[in-house]
Amino acid sequence: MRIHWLKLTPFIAFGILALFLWRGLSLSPHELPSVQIGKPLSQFTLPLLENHDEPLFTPDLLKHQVSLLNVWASWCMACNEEQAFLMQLADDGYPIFGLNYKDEPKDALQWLTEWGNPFKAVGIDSQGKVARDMGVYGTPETFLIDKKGIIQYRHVGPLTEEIWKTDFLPIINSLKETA
Amino acid sequence: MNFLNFIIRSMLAFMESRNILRVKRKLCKNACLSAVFALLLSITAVPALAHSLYPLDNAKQEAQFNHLLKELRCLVCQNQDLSDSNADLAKDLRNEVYQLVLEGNSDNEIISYLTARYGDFILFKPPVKAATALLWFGPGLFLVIGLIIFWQACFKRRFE
Repeated sequence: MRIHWLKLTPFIAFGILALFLWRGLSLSPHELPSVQIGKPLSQFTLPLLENHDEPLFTPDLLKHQVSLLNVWASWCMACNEEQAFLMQLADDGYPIFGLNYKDEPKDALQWLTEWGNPFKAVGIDSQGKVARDMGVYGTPETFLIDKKGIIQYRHVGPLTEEIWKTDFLPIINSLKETA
Repeated sequence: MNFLNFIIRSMLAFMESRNILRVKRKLCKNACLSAVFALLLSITAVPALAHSLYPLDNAKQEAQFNHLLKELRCLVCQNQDLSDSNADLAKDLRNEVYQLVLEGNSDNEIISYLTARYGDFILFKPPVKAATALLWFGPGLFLVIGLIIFWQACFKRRFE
């Protein structure tokens, strides 16, 4: 029984469409991939939230190590969710830097006293300009920065152990191998 | 608009309880007219609002500003454009676009500035490039395939 190839077209088209739609079910338009992956952090100079050896918060602080840049605010409810995990990461030795987004310094300091401080240093981005240059559209967001200051990954939303294992660790491990 | 609906519905309920049908019909007619008037007013009011919050030097810049706001998506309330959305990010991005328009940047320059930070998703119309080729030409392609199948089916019937 020979089947004319054209008769299979609807089934093939259905199969391809089903594949795309199935994939689409697990994609969320609220979690956009960063278009700056592979590009260096924009040059910025911000005041520091707390006293530090350096006078100002710049991308140079993050160089020579694989680090995380966490965009957070004291008014952001979702930031509370990831706080425990960030503290755990800090304890494990991962350098985490903070970008305080559109916040009051005194509220930010208060929040750190209440919830704990996992950050090596926090820059104050009171107008959100630096965050917008990085493509931030909602807090919290966490960027993975490599030794040369290049953005390797961006996660939107609270950071959980699962996301850390699936998305961040593979990149961190591959960065260790190439270095 | 919701407040207007609420007022109309509660007045209608009151009328119904008193069983005054004639007044109800007249109220409906008035409600419809006032709703249409309110809608027209809101449509004409939006450009006026944009003008007062973001004063621009000339009409060309104003047109550019309004046009861009309609083309750009609010990434928080993703079905709204930057001119409609009340989200904080929308407010900030409106300010940025305003500054860029004031400085005299062209549409393309402003769009590149934003897509360099946020990607193509910030545009309501995805750009035509290799990655979106299937999106833009897919429907046409499906139509052609459908026509071919139809043509083949026609031939089969004729010669069998």
